[in-house]
Amino acid sequence: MGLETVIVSAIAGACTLSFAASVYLVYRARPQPETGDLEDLIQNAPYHRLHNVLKIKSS
Amino acid sequence: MSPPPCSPGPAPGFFVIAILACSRQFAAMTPLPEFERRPATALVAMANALSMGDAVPDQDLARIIRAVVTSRAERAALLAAVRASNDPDSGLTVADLLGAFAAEAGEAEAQDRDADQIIGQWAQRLAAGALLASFGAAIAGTVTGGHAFGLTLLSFSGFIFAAASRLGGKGRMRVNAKERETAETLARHVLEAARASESKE
Repeated sequence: MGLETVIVSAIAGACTLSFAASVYLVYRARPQPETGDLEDLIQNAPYHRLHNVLKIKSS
Repeated sequence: MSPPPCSPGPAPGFFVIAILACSRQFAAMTPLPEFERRPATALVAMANALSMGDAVPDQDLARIIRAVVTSRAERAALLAAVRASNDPDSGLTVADLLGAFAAEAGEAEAQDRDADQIIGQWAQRLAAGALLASFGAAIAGTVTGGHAFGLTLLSFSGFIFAAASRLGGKGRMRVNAKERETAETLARHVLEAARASESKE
């Protein structure tokens, strides 16, 4: 095993580690999938609990 | 026989008093403002439902709070709704929910910062070191030909990729920090609005 093989594998290993860490960071920073529709959530909020507290338009 | 003297009409002061009394009466009868169905009122409704023992999914609550916190119009609508609310406790509950959301955003921000300092920084340093090493090996002639070119290209692209992933993480951190600060400020203002509505009553 020559010096060239050692150096090439060491540098390639360092690059692989760096790539793996970057992929992990990208995976962490990806936007969370949104569950459901926000408009749906707003229309179906428990407005009946605001009876006598706040007047909400009926639709 | 002389005609009976005309009875004097009411003094003008009487009309003024009557008009004032009527306007007071109308003001008392003014209907409460109606609020639209929007994220701000949905948040007040969810806070009231929570305080009455209903179960509200955490994800839904977080989405509604995020929608309120990220929009100026919704923040203003929330303050108006809390001020108009007949129940001062609902303002306290909303402020508490906002505080909890701010704490969660702060926690996510701290985790992102840790990941960036522990992983991102070292990934970038490792790639930079590999780039320098491949340059050195190519200049010294230890690695030649296609290997030297391939290593330089690999380590250079690794460095660029590490920098880009760190930038993405930093962007998310900034978004979290902004949400946390806005939620904290809004919680304080909601408390003041609840206090104002209490003293008005």
